[in-house]
Amino acid sequence: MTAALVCLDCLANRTSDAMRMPARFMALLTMPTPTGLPTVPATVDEAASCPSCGVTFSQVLASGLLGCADCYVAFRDAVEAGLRNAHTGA
Amino acid sequence: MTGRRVPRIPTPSWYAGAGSDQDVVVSTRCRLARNVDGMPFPCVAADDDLIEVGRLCAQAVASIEPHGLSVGRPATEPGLLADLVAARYASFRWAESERPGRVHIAPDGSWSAMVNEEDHLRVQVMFGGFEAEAAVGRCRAIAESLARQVAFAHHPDYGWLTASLSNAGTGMRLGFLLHLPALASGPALIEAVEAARRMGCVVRGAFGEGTSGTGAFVQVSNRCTWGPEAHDAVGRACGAGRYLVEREREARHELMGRRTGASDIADASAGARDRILNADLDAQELIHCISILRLGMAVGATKGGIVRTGEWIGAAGVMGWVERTGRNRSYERMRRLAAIRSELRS
Repeated sequence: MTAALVCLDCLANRTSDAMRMPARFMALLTMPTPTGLPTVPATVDEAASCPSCGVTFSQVLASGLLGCADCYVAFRDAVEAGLRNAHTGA
Repeated sequence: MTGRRVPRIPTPSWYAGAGSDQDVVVSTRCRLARNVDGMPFPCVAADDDLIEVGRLCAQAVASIEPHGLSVGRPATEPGLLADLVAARYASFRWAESERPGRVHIAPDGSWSAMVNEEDHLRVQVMFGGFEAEAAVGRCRAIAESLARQVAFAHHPDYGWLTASLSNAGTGMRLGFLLHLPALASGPALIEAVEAARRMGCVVRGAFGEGTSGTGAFVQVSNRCTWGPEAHDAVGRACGAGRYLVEREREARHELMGRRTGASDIADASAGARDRILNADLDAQELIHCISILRLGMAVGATKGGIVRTGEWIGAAGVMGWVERTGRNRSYERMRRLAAIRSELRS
């Protein structure tokens, strides 16, 4: 880090606490965004698979991604729980 | 790769900038995600499926924009991929995949359509500054036109179906790239970011999740795309964006009000300009220097057109990307820095 690059931090506040702000700032910004999955309702069998694309629920949990539109029906309980989880509580 | 000519892409409209609040707001982006009905999503689709999706999407895009540029993947020129990423026509994720896909770009540079990223189709509209209404309106109109040409997967309860549940429903993400250097330099930032989150928004680094070295450039966007809160997603994103803009302006005012505030910013800006012109910077150093210089321009402490810094931010982002992925690292650093230096000297 050169003098020119720390200048912006120095400008605002020359205390040592202020110099720690960028790290706290970065920690905030790098928190993962909620994806909706995985939250696993007890009713969903991880070995269950989608009849259309063949993706298993354990694969969905691992990737966080559904395989096709029919996965929404095949894994309905988990999908509805995941949607509520991802899109509420602002 | 030096000596090979990289094909020209349309100049992104957000580089020119015409929106409001450009002292803080670099750009506004609206994105809509859609998937072709009856086709597996890209994460599990076979290459033949992705090729067919590409054909259907290309037909639909051509029907509403016959004169756009279309760039295929794989086998595209690496320098071209970097240009697409720097312009934010394509995401890092799209550019890193070697599976069949395309990016369609409008001739005026105002919108693009990524095919076979996480979803089959991601339409995005970008403008400089704060232009939420125009970006959302244009993006929705494009998606509606495309939906008349190709059937997209939809469910009466879940809305538009996407690979990730975080995008299901409207599939819409409205975001602003904000420059918050004064706020980031003081303790008020944490409170401001938390407040934006409570307003229903996600706040991330300029180049997405997990990226470092943002130089106080952050993205704020709506979190919810499904359920009751999704109906007010535009209002929430705009509210959070406006709130952060005002907090940043207050922090700048406080900075400038200090006894040596203006001269400190002028000195820092001069140092940043000198380093950009003369030092062999990596991406993180470059984005920090751009951040300081942009702040200096915004408060009138140094000369220069603030609008041009948007392109520089894109260049720094793509430098970071090639540093992480090893794609033409030296070549990209050389040409990105050369372009910025040329403008700074003019």
